[in-house]
Amino acid sequence: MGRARQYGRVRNRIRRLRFDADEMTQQQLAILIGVTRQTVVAIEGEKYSPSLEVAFRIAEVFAVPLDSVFRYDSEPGLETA
Amino acid sequence: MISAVLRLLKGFSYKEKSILISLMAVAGVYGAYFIDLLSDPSEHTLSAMLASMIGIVVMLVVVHIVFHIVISLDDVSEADDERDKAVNRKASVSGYNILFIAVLTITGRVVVVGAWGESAEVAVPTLFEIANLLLAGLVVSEVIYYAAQLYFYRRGLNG
Repeated sequence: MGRARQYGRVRNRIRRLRFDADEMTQQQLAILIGVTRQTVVAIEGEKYSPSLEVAFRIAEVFAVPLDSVFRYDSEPGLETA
Repeated sequence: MISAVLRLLKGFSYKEKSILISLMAVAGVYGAYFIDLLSDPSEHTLSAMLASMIGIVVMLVVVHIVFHIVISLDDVSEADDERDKAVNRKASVSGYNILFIAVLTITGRVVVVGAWGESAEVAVPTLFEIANLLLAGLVVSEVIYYAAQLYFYRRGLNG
């Protein structure tokens, strides 16, 4: 049974981008963007939305525009986690 | 014993283990103090309370050091990043709210009972009772603070 969400949420493609970047590990990405591996895990799992600075750093690491990494899903819904 | 503790905490990050240790240490050590206090209140005085507080601080430091050595055996500490700070901020608000309510309630009780206590035939709280009520409020707010941190780390901050 999920919990109702009033607002949408930020989705991301980091797992896919890591895979495409020669299977970069979460630890490697964490070092490159200056956060802990646990924070990368939380961002990938959409349990934490990073600051704009970290979001831009992630896009920079994968050399893609910001909206190729993150998108805003505006549909309210149910929390499943 | 040590391997049992490590098995129990598998799946937790170093930070979460550290918070869990703090939570259990504060709840356990102060819990023992309040159980002892409530079992025989007449035995306790302000000077005995001072001695207990010194003992509690020493015990908390020892428990923290021992258990942090244990969790460091299979995990490494990492510097705080923006998510840690966000979790800390959110959990602090939860703890602060509890502390605010506790202090306001105790102060209100002291003022009201102090002003009208005799006519209402209600005993005015002693300094010892006030000190312990404030301490209880502080302990509960600390427990909520650590529990909230664990909750936000496990459940996430989006939601």
